[in-house]
Amino acid sequence: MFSSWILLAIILCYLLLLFSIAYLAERKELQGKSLVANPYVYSLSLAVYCTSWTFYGSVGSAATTGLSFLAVYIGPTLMAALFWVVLGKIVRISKENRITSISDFISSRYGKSLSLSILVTIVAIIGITPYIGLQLKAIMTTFSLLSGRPEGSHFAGWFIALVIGFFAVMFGARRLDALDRHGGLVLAVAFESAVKLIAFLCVGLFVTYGLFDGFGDIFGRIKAGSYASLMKLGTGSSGSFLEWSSITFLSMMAVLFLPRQFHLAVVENHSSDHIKKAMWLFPLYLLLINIFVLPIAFGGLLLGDSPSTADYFVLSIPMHYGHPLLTLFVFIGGFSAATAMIIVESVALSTMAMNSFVMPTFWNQKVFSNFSAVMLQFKRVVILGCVFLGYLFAVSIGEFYSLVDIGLKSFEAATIFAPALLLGLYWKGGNKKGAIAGILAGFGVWIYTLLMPALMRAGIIQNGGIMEAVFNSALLKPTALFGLEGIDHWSHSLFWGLLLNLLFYVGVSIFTRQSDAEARQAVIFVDSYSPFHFSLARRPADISEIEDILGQYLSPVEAREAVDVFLKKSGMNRDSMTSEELQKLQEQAERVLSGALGPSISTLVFQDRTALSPDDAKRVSKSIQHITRNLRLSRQELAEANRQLAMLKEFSENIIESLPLGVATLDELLCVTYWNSGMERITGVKQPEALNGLAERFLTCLEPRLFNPEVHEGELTCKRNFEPQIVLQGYLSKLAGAQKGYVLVLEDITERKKIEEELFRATKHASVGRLAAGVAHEINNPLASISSLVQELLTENVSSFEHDSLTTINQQVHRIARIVRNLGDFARLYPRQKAPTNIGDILENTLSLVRYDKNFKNIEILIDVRETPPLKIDPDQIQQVFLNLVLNARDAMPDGGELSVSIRQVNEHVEMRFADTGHGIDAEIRDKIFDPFFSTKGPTKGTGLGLSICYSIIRDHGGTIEIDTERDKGALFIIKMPTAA
Amino acid sequence: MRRDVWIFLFAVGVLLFTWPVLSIFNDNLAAYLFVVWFIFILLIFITSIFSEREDGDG
Repeated sequence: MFSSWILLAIILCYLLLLFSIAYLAERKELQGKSLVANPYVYSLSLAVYCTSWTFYGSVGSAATTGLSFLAVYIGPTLMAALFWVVLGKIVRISKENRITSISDFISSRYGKSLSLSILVTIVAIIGITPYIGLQLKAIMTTFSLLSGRPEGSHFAGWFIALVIGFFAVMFGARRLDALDRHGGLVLAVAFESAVKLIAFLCVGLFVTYGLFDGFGDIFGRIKAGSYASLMKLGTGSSGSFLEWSSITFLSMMAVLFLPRQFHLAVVENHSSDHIKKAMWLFPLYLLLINIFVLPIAFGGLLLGDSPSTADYFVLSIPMHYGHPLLTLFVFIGGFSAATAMIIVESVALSTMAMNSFVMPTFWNQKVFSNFSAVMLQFKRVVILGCVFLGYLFAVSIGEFYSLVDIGLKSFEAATIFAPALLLGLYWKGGNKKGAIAGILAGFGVWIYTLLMPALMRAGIIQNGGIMEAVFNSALLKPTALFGLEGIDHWSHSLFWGLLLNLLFYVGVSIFTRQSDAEARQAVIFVDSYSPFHFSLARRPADISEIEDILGQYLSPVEAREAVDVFLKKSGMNRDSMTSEELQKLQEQAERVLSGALGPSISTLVFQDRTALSPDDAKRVSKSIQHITRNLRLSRQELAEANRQLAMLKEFSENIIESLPLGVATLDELLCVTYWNSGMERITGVKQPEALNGLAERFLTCLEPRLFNPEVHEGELTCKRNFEPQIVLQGYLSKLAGAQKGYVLVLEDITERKKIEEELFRATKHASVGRLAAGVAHEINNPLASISSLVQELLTENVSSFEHDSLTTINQQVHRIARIVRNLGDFARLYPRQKAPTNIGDILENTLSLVRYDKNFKNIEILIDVRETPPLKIDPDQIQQVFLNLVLNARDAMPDGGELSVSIRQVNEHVEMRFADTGHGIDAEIRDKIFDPFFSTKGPTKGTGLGLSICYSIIRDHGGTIEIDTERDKGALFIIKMPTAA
Repeated sequence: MRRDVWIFLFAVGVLLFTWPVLSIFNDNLAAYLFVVWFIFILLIFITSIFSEREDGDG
């Protein structure tokens, strides 16, 4: 036990430390060196989410309902993944519009509606103030536990509430402009977050490793004992999956929409970049502070403590085991958790109350004398009022609630704002009436299903008479509305609240009209437009008038300063301002006042001072209606045109990309502006590389040169100077219409060229064949007569000279006959029968004919014959082809060499290769070697028909024969025969 | 970083932290929750690093 005075002294010392930290931060800020403008302080400040509910209540919850408590921290972790999308947008909009609270945000979204702002503030105060009370209750209870004097706790609570209120006033209401960030307050809150985390980790380590043998020991014993169900969810445990999901959802909403969270995450945000770090730092904090919750809760149960006292295991365990210093540190940790929440929440609620109630009241009463100072005093009173309202709750009815119970009720209250706020960010159709209806419906369900049963349980509402009849009826039972039974009360309230809230919000928005102001705000919020983009349809005040208005609410010096800063930032001249510039200045002044008075009142201030004459107002109103109508139409038309344009663009691009052509567009300077995939294929240059580059760099092969000395239009060809060689045909033309530049189209005509050559050769062969057939036929008959006569004469008794002459004649006649036969072969005068034959056998027969020929003595023949299917061929003709090729190879290697012959199947063809190491053929005559009567061996050695015959035979079999050769590099003949032939 | 990535990450998180996935791991639920929680934070961290780099490049 500790003496009450010692505890109070410790609390005072700690608060003094906080004062010092806050003061230091404020001083540094004045010197222009902010201690809080960094993501780490920002993330720690967000940990104000972890209140005494986390510090004490989580352990209590874990000891009674098991793992369900974790949903409260999993929810924010999930929401953190969306911080950049949702919170980032809220921060951007809030900064643009100088929004200072969640009520301002919602009211601004719906046309700066004061009624909506008031409604949100009422919901927040009723929903959240009990939560402040619970924090004070936690401080008072722990104070009693440590001092052992319950009777002194109320005095301690009163004293602590006063000091905390004073702190909140000092650092939360230093000046009227609520947008002036509270650096001192934020640093103090961040420091408290660090203290509570360290304190919790210390007690966690003490219980887990000081009293037990670690996690395994504690969890092992719990699983083996009567508390095993605490380790599970669903059937057989005290927490259902539905409850888990509901609490996860509630905490996801709470982490953004609780007033204190909104204040620290949005209003106190220095840079949107801090959000990205907070996205993982804040969840990490939540993970760390929860690591020891289960060990402490289970440890307390295993040590024999009752689950009913589990809320304070964190404090009672080290106290009972004689660790006063640790106990005191834990008390300070819990105190930090509670005070941080109280301070920030009271500042946030006071801002809402000021902007929604106090400012409008003063405005309506036209009280302008010393306005700034009066408002500041009021704000301070409101802050103290919030804290003491909480204190009253704590001492009067706080004992009827657990920490978790009130915490979750606040979460449910914050969730009431979710539809209006979240849908309002992404749906322009939501309007003020819908938002009010939705929030009222949600709030009604909250009161009926959560607050009323709690008040009845506390005895504040007496259960009897009509109330009893209503509450016990089958349809209107608060915990089973419309007969919905069998689910926990959080899920029950969330279901009905959210359902009605959404139905009313969306339904009323659809069936009622949005005002022009609402439509304007909807565009600003949904499209994140700067309000500067919208010119007011009001007569702008002149600059001195704007300064006067500002000076009335701030101070003349501050007003002048604010105007000067804006003029300097916008590059405007005070003495020569245009009407448009004055409007912008007026909007800026509205935003400055918005920070101090709230958006609704700041708008009213300027509307009143710059009111139009009735005629002007009518005219302007008509103009606005006309413009708005036109704008709506234009927007629709524009969207439709945009959509069609996008489709057309995609369609055109698809066509160009799927063309088997290379297409490029060039600007006037011949730089590439478009380069399709066909162009990539042809040139080997990728689009990113080509774009904006000079086209000439990528198309050096084109002839005639496209680009120098002037651009040519018309056909062009290109033999690419890298493998595989291709032949291109291109066309360059000037772009038509307003666009200047050129379009270049390239076509790969390599295949076409090949086919053309093939056709030409076939035609030539056909005509020569016809000629050869005629010649052979005409020569054959007289030749036969000559031959028989010569034979007959040789049998006669002739002189030796005559005999020799006749023999020579006979030999020449035989030669002519051979030539004629060859001609006949070439012309294929003699039809042959084709039969399935193994091509390898033909090759073997052919080689056996030449293998022992003395001319092949120095030639090494290498054979590589693979398994191939039989081909339907004329074996004699194919043998002739092989023989011709082999003999040609022999003639090409008079001094010996190597002849490689291979046969294999390649896809649907049988491929035969004859490669020699002979002298090869010049590239210039390569294309002529299959021509009839063309020979490189000289007139005495050959007829020039050998390869022509080969060509004719192979073509007759449906195959192809090609040659690849260069002078002194040998020759390679490739024959391809279809397997289906 | 496109917002789709964050929304995808959020959706994965929701999937991992709700029924029926939780019921699959009900026997060791505490361990599952803490491990997946940590991995999810790690994923946010990695994504935000990439996002910051992208912003830097952009």
